[in-house]
Order: sequence, then structure tokens, then C-alpha cells
Amino acid sequence: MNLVNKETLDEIALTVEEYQLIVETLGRTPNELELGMFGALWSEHCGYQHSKPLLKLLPSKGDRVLFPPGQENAGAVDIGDGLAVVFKIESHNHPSAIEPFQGAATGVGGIVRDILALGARPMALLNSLRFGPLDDPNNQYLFNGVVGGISWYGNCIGVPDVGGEIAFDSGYSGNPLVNALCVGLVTIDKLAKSTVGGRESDYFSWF
Amino acid sequence: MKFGIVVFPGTWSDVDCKFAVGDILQQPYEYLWHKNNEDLSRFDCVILPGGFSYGDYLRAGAIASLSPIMASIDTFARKGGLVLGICNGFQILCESGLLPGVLMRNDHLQFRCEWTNLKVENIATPFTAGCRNGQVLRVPISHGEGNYFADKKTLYELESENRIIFRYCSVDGLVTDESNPNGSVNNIAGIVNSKGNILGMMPHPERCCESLMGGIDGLEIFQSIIRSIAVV
Repeated sequence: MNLVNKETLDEIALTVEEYQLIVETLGRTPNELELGMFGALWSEHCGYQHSKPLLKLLPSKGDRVLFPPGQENAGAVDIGDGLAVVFKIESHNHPSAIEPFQGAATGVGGIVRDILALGARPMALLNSLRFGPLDDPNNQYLFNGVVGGISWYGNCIGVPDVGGEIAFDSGYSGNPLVNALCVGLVTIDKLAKSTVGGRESDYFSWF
Repeated sequence: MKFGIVVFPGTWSDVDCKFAVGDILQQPYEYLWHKNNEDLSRFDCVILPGGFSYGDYLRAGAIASLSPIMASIDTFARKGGLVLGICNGFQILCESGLLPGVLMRNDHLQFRCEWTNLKVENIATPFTAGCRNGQVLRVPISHGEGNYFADKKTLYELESENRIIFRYCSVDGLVTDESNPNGSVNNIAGIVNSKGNILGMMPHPERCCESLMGGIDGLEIFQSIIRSIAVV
């Protein structure tokens, strides 16, 4: 039973098929809040719907892998001497397309947070960027904002930008790609997990 | 030679300063939390490191200048103690009135992280006693608000009293517009107070004390400080 119209689905970027899957899974129609949550969580930014099948093709196993991709906020690899290197890359494309400075800055903020969440000290930032040709004033505006935002956030907290890559193509006009990577270091005994254990005492409730 | 390294919320070059004076130069040091209003006479030199104290909110260094420790530093400096303000530290010293003038936004409005050349203009200070007159030091900057400005009267005093210690210059020691990375008036990179015991500078000597970092000219400043106190 379709109690929602296409306009509503377009607002939260869900397809009709996705909506039907939601109804099937819940066993009922979702309320407005639930619909909004599915729309957000199934977006490319949060759910990596289209990127995931490609990312799965990359190597991710090894003796030294402490946290594999997807398990924690970032990946961790044992590099010997009781140390682990922790790193993660994340995209902030649409936030940057809408508000380039803050969109890119919060991309850096988020990725630094992911490293901190593992108890590691952020050491360096890198970025991978794509823009449309700079003779277009809108692309110039996005470029200036993104570069400014990335450098500003890292500078404020003392984590340097040490490398990156950038390319320009008309396919990216108005649709920049902004990927921020952070790498950190931690002693393995201080590596923190976000998953909770099986004991009741590990849980607590908010009221 | 005991160094005090002040830490405000948002300071992060404290670790770089500790690395330079504590690890490389093997000097005793202590971190000083900004809330402490205490007697600093056990120190020979107090460093106000770089970073973003209070996130540069309001103005760079404005809120930090109101911290309790600034009163202790004022007393310490009146008694002849050495104070070295680096980057945000320089901004804090200007905001607190311990040094004249102000650091404004870089004239080109961008953050610049790059090597600069500094001409040593005055070697009659504890911070430059080990240098040669006119020596060129290669020291990195990393700031968005390093554009030094002072009114005509203050500038005249600074110039005539030889209180401009470092000027941005070319690799050959020529003070030119091209070598000025931020628009500072008269290419001013570092100054001292009238007594000559408080120095503020925008470039980071603590980040060039090891060849792995690309240069060791920062050692000239720290070693001058150490030698000056040893003599007293």
C-alpha cells in the first residue's frame, strides 16, 4: 500500500523500490520520522550505497589488521614496537557543494574525530579533491571555499595537511568531490573500541 | 636554565617548545597551566607558545590575555625574567599590553605556512646574543594573523630604540616587499619591550631545531637565551 507520493520520496532521495523495501521490513508504513531516518542513512554519504560494492574489492585482510574496515570508526594496523597506525578517509561532497568552506572544514573535523574515537593521536591530514574547470566562477568559488575550509580546520587544531591529489573535469562542475583522510598513531594497549561487551553493566540508558 | 611553557586551552605548540628546549637542548622545563597565578621566580625564561588559544575567538590572543597567569608573567618580567612569545604567544603579549602594537589578518587574507628568512637587527638582547649582526635565520611561519601594525609614534620608538629584533628579508638579507609574507609594517617579524627582556616573534624557532625538520636556525635563539642566563 503506497501512502506516500513521489514528491515526498524525492525530498529524502529514496526510490519507490527502497520505500517498498522499508514497508516490507517494518511490516507497516513508516512514520515521517522513520522515513526521514531511512532517507538519511541510505544516502550515499551515510550509507555508501554505490561506493560499498567497489570498496569491497580492495584488500582488507592481514595478520597485522587490528580493526578491519567497517568495524570501528577507523581502521587500525599493527606496525610493530607496540604501536598501531590508525587511518580513515571520508567524503564530504554534498556538504561542500552547498557550503564549501564549512562543508570541507567539517569533513576534516569528522575524520579527525574518527581517529580520536580510537584513542589515537591525529598526526596528519591528506585529501583527494575533484572540481569542474576553474574558468567557471562557481567552480572557482567551490575550490576556494573547500581549500580554505580544509586548511582552516587542520590549522586550528595543529594537525598538518601533508599531501593530497586534485584533478579538474567538467563532470565535476557544481559537484565537487571532497575526500578527507586522517592518520593517527596509538600504542596498541590504548586502542579503544566503540563496541560494548555482553555484560548488562556495559549498557546505560538516557532518560 | 629552567623554562616555563605556558598552556592555554587551544595552545598546541607547547609540545614543540618542550621538544626543542627539553629534548634537544636538554634543559629543565615545566608546563604552566594558564589558570595558575603563581610566583614564577624559579624560572629563567617563560615561553608563550603558538597555537589557537581559545580558538582565536574575539581576536587572536584576546581571551588568553585575561588569564590569571598573565599577572604572574607581568611580575616575572618586571623582575627581569625573560619572556618569549611565539606566534599566538606574540599575539597574547600584544593583547595584554606587555608589547606594543597589534597582529592583524595577513594582508592577502590567507593562512601561510612556509619558510621565511629573518634578518637579525639587534644582537644586544638575551634572545640574539649568540647571533651575528645582520645574520639571516631561516625560520618557518604558520599563521593567518601575523600582519604587525603599530601607530607612527610607536613605530618611531621601536625603530629609534633598536627594538625591532627580526625583520623578514630575502635569503641574502635584503629587506624587501617580496620577502614580506604577511604585510607587516616595516617587515617587522619580532620586537622587544623597552627593557629588552620580553620578545615577541611570529615565526616559529621551536620548529627548526633539528635537521630532520629542515633547518636548525631556531637553535640560535634558544642557545642565546641559555648562554645569557648562564652568564648572569
